[in-house]
Amino acid sequence: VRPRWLDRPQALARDALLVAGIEPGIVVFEDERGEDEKIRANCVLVRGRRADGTDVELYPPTGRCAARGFHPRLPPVHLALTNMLDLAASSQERWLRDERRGADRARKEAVLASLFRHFCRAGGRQDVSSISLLWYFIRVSYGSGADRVQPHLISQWSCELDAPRIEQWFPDESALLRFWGEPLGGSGS
Amino acid sequence: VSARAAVARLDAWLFAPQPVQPLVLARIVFGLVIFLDHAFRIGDLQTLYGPEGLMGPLWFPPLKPYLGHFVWDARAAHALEALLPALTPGLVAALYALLLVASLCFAIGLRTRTAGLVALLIFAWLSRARDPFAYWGWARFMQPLMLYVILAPSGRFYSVDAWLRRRRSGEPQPSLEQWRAPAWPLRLLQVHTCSMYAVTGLARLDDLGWLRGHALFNALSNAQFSRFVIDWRPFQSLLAAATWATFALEPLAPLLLWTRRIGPAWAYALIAMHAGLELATNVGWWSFVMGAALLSFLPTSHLDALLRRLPGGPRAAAPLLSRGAAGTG
Repeated sequence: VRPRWLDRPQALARDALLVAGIEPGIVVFEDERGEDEKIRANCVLVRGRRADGTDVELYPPTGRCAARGFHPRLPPVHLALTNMLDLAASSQERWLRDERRGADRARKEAVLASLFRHFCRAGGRQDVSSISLLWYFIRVSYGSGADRVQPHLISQWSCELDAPRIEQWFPDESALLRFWGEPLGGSGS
Repeated sequence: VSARAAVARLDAWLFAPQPVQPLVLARIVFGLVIFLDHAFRIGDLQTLYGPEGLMGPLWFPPLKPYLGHFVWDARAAHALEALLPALTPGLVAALYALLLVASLCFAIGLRTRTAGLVALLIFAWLSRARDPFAYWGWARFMQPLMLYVILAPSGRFYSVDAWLRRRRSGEPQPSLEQWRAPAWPLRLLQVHTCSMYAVTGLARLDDLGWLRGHALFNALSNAQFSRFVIDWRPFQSLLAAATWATFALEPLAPLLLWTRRIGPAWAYALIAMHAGLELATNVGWWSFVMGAALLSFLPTSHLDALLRRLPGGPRAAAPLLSRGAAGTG
């Protein structure tokens, strides 16, 4: 068994490089794993529900994932949301594999709680009592150019209870559709 | 070469006076990058940084111990935050306004060092403690480079400080030949830039996306990164060629940028690569930061020509001899 202390110099070197802002991978160039399709859009939709059952779009304001057209600038809120969800998801994947689950699970919960509490507060001005979040990728085939929705997370948070109501990682597309109640895809702007 | 001679050469390489033109230009670029990036965030100020924002301290403390690789710097930034009074929307807005003013002052060279340090501290706090998720890698990478520029006498030339000093003393404007200072901040900037290319370039050597020529096509087809989300499949051959050119340019940069003959051409090629990425992709301010850093590998005569074209730039006649910033003299 490899002693853990042997990893320490490597970890220290990596941390030192990170402090200096030097990272081996740049996120824009995703790893390719021999797949015949790739990610075309990283979509996050957040919707608040009022006590009377009506909905209000909290993110993005259009309520649609912008997946085509001219994007002069990536909104920093979108970057923050997708990075937070990526962290929660990687933590979730590790948690599913790892015996030492405590820390990763706490991290995932803290990320999602932070995100939902912000939207509860923001939606509170519009009497929102629960928040629904849907995170999915649109993947496109190299060969045909056809799109496919790849669901990652469906989640609902009760602002009144300050706790999750529904949380399902990596659901199938039909579960996602049932949860959101309308077909998904990308809009052209 | 004896040890004594080697030490003398290293000493000269690090401390002999060198042109500061690259650092002056980097000061302008870094100041403007911080100013513009944050000016565009004004509508999302409280969502990103406020106490009730996405990473607001009202919700977020449980996550701090689990922030994985955000280790020393995040801890330092959080320790800095602990010195502040309780975070309120007003305090966030005040520090944000101070950041905008300080970064603009740094760019124009008004109270250059103080302005630069204030801007750097607030920028580091926002990007490392307040909301690291809201930034690309350029933000972390630029901070040490900016520190080198602050430590160098980059505010002594082409700055409001220099103009005010001349107005008070009646001194003439220094010629571009006189724009010199000890080399070490310039060397740190150069070595840091090369470290980035070495680490990123070498990490790609076994990546299928780069080997197959798909990396740029993948990035451009992704709405998260691309400015033009169209069907790029008709351009796959062109993008494969650009991918392989990038694949060669970056890992070789740490070696070839230092050579007298090829270095400037390699730096221009890298600047062209970053310009192309800037046109086609949304990756924050990477291209501007790397472009500014790469100026340190261009011949000083080229930078002098650029400076003369800037508003209020030096007007002295160009020297006939080309002086290389990357070389020994």
